[in-house]
Amino acid sequence: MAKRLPNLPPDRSSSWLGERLDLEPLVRLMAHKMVPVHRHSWIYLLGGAALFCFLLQVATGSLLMLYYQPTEAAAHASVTRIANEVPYGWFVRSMHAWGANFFIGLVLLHFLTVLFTRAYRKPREFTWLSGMSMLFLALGIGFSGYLLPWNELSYYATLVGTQIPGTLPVIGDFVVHLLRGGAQVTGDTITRFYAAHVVILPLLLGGGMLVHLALVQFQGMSRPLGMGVEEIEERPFFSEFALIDACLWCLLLGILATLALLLPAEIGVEADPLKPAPEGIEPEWYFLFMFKTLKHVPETVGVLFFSLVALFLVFLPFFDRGAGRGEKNPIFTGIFLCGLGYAVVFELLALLGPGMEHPPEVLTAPTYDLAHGLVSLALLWAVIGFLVFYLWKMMRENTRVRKLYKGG
Amino acid sequence: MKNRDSFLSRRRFLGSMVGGGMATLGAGALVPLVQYAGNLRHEPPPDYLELDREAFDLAPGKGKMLLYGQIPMLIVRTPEPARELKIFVAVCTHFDCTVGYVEGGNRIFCACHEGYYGVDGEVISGPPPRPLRQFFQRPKGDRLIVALEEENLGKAFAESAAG
Repeated sequence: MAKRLPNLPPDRSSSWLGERLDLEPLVRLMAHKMVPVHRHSWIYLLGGAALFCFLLQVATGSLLMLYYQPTEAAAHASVTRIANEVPYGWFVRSMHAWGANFFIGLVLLHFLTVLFTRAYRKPREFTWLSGMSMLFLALGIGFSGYLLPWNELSYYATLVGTQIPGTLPVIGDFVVHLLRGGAQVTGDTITRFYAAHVVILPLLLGGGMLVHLALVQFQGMSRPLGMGVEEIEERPFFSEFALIDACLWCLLLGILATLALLLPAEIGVEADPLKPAPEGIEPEWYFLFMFKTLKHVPETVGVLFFSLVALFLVFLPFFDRGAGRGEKNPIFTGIFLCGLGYAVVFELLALLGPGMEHPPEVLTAPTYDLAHGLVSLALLWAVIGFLVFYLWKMMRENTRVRKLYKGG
Repeated sequence: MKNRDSFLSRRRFLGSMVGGGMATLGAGALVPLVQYAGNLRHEPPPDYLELDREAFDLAPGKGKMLLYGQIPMLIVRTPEPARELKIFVAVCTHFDCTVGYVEGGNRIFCACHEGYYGVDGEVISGPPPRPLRQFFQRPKGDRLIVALEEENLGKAFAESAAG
């Protein structure tokens, strides 16, 4: 028999707010969110971790905007200045570069877990559609940000990337022109990629996130197919699962800071439209398998194939209707596994192949000092360790209290 | 009954008028918006380019890049004994990467997807679907007129005669 929860006096700040705003509906809505507990519960952490990376990108990106200049003449020089002259500029930029990779990585992992657990199934079609839109937006943000340092790699990646829609019938040329701001990749392209990277796409992504989170809040967390029938334990998101989220966010921050210090982002050689593409040139890892595919198949076939795959994925919940009735169709599992296998194989082929040779870069920033950095890093990890330990304790305590008083 | 029907049809009429008006407004806004964002100015490349002797005076088996407006242009002097001057649009026909001349191999190479072209622009290997586009050229004294379209070569001579 569960005990009655004792009436605790409300703390002063919440009563101050409560006298002015009726937060009751909001609190009730937040309290309503539950997270199923099963052996795959870790998958519920991925969306939140991606959200954390996004917030970190907004923060570090805003800081980079203080010094970055989006013109052909100044872009590369301003990035070099951020890395080598602005105090801690190298750190902010490296956090942004590593954060971008983690953001895309977590988004892709989130996408894969949703795919394999069939979390897209009825009634969550809209959550899936908003998620897929955000996946494309995230890739777009990655792609547009890649050009901004205006180095050789980014220049050729943008040449190839913006030419891909050129194979589309009728509108191809227009889309290429729209993306580049002209017939060629020039300073005009930097300016519009900058606008897309810092305002247009993040704003759309933020809007998509609101819709996505609202849907998850109203519909609750999906359970992996086949687990929905029997009773599984659930724990409230506030304030148990959110504390696990917080632990992961702290760890992510630590990992990103460590990588930023030990492997700072490279600046690269300034792009020169008069130089041929350097040998072994490759795009970012998340476009690599597509890039390699285009080497082996005719361009129209490749682009058509990727467009069809994208369309198939977007409308997947409407194809895999059986999943909505609780049936796990092995054909779809097979398709997903084949797709994943293909991407992994091409990715590995590209990674194992010879990459681009370039001279090692040395950061000359006065604030970049490995010895000092390692001491700061040790302090950071000590604080993170402390925080994770107590966040975990707090979560356990909240679980204990819930079970004691609510009999859960 | 009649009243109710007319009530419904009035509402539908008003709704479709408002919806239609909105759609017209949206479509009207779309035209300038697409033109603005697409930067659809007509910006043709120059009719022709007049090159000084030092710009194209290359040793056999050497290549050089110049800009034709915004288009990268690859100038190649083929090795002995041919010693021909070839001028290409240095844009790979596969996905637009800038190609370069491989001096040792007398070939043109695109590093992005490893496409090789011969010095006549023809595809030797790799994914490029079409040969490289060549510029038309005609000497004018010790200078060289280069143009994307053959008829523009004449323009250069006509203009200098008129000027």
